[in-house]
Amino acid sequence: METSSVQQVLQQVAALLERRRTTQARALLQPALAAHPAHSGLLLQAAYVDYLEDRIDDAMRTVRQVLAADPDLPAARELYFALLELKDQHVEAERVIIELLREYPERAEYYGRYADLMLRTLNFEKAKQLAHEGLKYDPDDAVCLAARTLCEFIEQPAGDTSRGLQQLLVRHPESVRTLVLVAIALQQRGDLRGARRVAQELVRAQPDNEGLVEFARALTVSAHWSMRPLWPMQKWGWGASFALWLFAIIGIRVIGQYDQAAAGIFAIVMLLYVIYSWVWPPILKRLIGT
Amino acid sequence: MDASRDANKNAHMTHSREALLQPTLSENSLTAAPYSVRATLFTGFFGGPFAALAILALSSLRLRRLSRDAIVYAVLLLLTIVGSWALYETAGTTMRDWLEAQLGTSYLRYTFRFVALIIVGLGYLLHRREHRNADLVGLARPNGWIAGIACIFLGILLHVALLFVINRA
Repeated sequence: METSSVQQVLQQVAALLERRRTTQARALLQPALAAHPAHSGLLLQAAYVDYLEDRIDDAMRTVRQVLAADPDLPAARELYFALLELKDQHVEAERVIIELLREYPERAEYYGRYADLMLRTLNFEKAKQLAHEGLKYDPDDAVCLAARTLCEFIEQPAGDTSRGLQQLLVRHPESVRTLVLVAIALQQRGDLRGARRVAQELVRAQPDNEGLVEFARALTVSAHWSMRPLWPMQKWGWGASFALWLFAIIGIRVIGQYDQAAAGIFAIVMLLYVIYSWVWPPILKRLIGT
Repeated sequence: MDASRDANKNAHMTHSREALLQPTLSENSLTAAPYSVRATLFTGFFGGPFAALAILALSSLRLRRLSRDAIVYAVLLLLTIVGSWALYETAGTTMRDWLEAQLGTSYLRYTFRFVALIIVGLGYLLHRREHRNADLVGLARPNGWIAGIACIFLGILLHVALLFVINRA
């Protein structure tokens, strides 16, 4: 296969991978790799196909092969970082992203990805600082804006619309990342149906994305009509649960002073409500999943 | 003057950027998700204030912030011990009578359960950012059964020991 043909394959596969058409990409790559088994570009794209298809171990094997031949290739190191994150090898992932940042100190995306790693390892303050640093170099960088948005969700879940999300909606309105964050924002505000609608649109766009499918399923469960009695807990979280426990304890005592039978009935009703809140959501999730 | 101010600003930015590029993670001390709020709530409800403090301390250990939270736990522990002592002493008779009138003969059990729930609530406030962070990024929570049951046993043991000491005094 000629070099120009390899370049053509690389371009075609890149276009297919942007649209997540992994089967077609694999079909194009196979004959090219048969002719050029050691070509870094082709191997890297094969690794991306495996990554998109959740064949993480295969992707890791291939990307390590690329890095053995070309250890400085930024695209390979970026994919290696993503795979290390997926395999929860956070220490090594941090080493890789720090090396990339030292070599490319003005690549805002790398700060965003490092911030994402810090959020996954519960290092919130550093995540916030990294997102802020990255946005100095590129105020429109989607990855930094997404990290900043998540930090704002964590700090003020019920606050005003996140500034990071506002910028994402203006600069990257059709990005999957933006729409996922919109769904999360709606969920945090208690608009579960709105969040579910957004998530369902995302699944239509990427039906093979397991993460999105799972997210949409969880929102479908939360927004189901049989979950309406749990609305206070869904809206106010654990604050509502504490209030409920206190209401139950105080209610049983107060009613019991007037009517023991009524107190008994009240206690049974509260107990049934608690059992329903534990048992029904996982059952519903299983029913909806099938 | 502007050039020197810019130079200082650049030096500060480089310094803060350099600080950000220092590794945070190490194999020996990875931050882990805290016990779920549900596990903490049940442990406190069934085990009392000491059980609640124990499981919160375990969560702080997992979050690598035990030294930061220790002062809060120490204050809550002290308040629990002093409060229990005061309740059982002669000076606490008025309070005991009032509680018994409101809550019945099981007033002590309800009171300690209430205190435990307050401690759980304060613990949630202390770790609420970490809880939201863990939920948003989908971190798996540790299984709360073993730690919860162990903390409940410990809590009951400490509670009985405290009552023993108070009665002997």
